[in-house]
Amino acid sequence: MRSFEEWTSDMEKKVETKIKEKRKERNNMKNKYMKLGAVAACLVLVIGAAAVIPYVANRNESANLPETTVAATDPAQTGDAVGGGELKCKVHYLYHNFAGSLIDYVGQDKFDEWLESVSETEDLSEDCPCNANIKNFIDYFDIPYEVFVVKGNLTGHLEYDPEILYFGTEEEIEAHFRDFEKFAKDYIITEHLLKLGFNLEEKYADKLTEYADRTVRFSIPELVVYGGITKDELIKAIDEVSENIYEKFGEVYTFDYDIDGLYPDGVATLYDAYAKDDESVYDRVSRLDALFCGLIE
Amino acid sequence: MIRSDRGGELLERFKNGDSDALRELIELYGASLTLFIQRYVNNMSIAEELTADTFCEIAVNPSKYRREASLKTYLFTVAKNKAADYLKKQRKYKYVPIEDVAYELCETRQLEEWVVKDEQQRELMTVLNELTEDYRSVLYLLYFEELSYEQIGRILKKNVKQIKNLAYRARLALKGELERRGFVYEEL
Repeated sequence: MRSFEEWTSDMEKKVETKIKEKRKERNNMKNKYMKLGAVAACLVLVIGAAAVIPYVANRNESANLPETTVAATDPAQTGDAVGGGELKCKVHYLYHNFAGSLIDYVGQDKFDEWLESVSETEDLSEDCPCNANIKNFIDYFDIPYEVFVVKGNLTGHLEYDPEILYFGTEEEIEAHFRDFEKFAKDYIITEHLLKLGFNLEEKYADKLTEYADRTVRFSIPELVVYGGITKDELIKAIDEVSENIYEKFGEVYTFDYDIDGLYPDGVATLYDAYAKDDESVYDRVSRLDALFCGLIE
Repeated sequence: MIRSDRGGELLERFKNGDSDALRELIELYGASLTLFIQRYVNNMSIAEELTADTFCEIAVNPSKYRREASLKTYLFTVAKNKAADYLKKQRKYKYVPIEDVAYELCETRQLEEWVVKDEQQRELMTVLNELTEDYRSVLYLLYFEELSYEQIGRILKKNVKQIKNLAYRARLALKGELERRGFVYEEL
């Protein structure tokens, strides 16, 4: 039987261990957000430069499935999305989206602390496990309505109704944000497609080292040329994206990429053939991806 | 019985780098919090882990405690949330071996002795264990932690009126249980 002092000492050790773990997690999280920030910046540059990047063109692959058209949603148009990395919520998107100006308003450190604290209460068995939502954000930081409307830039892309958020019942808020499911779906599909590029970049990092000073991601055609991705590997990678989307939504999406066009004889000359001297690297990435998607000739 | 609530001062000392303050906080509230959580999770090891999580939270994010309530109330609120989260995740019934039950009883008694010095109060605590979760919590916080209705409301996320109603019903249930065990019930 432990004495009170022994019990307290054991508890103190436990707490200290947990504190160390928590601080380590916090550092990792900060690194993750920095990385996400860099990724978001790339997305803004790449996608913004192209004005419209319909990365996704889908068609019904299976005769048994209804045809679905998915217009890619530009993540850069969704505010400065920070929701804890991968979106864990299956039913909302904008509900977990925080405009950068609002984060600046409360202070990045305080925001990080809050995110960390609410993420501890996530229940992954729920459809919406994320307590990092805009309602809790407003309540916690006590954001006045007038400030929210201005700082949240609600006249633009964030088209939810701030009045419902502020003055609605819990049920009304929930129903209102669930209406953005389609938006979430589009976002996730786009996110998967963009991941395709990043994953391939990572996989062929050794062959791409000489381009390490690139500040934007590589286009898929560039990855084919510079990274030496084989046709089979590319098809496999695209299939994986399709599978991820299928797992998430139970619908089949295929991508109308002109893969054959990417692999003509003498593939090494492809990039040179399409490159234009006077275009910026951002324009080039966007244009080559559009080319890859079969959208331009 | 622990009556003091000098947690705020200890937390300030901890924030200013006094490492002894954490130990003092644990001495002050550790056993009470563990007993409180144990009544929810019914497992002493888990209760200790969740207590450690509770202290960890205040140590890592001391600024989250905004002095709207006493530190004691805040800690019990966090503890209640930790216990509720744990229970939410534990949807499946778990078999508890008999030796664990013995260990549980032994550890629980030990903690009760530290927290509740009075023998009669300890008897009362044992009887509380026979009540439902809500009744148990409200009476525990009312009589053993000596918190106000308002403080209990913050912890259990109910308004004062609801807490008063709950306490009234809990007292009736306690009276019934005490009488069933042959005790003479006195107005608490």
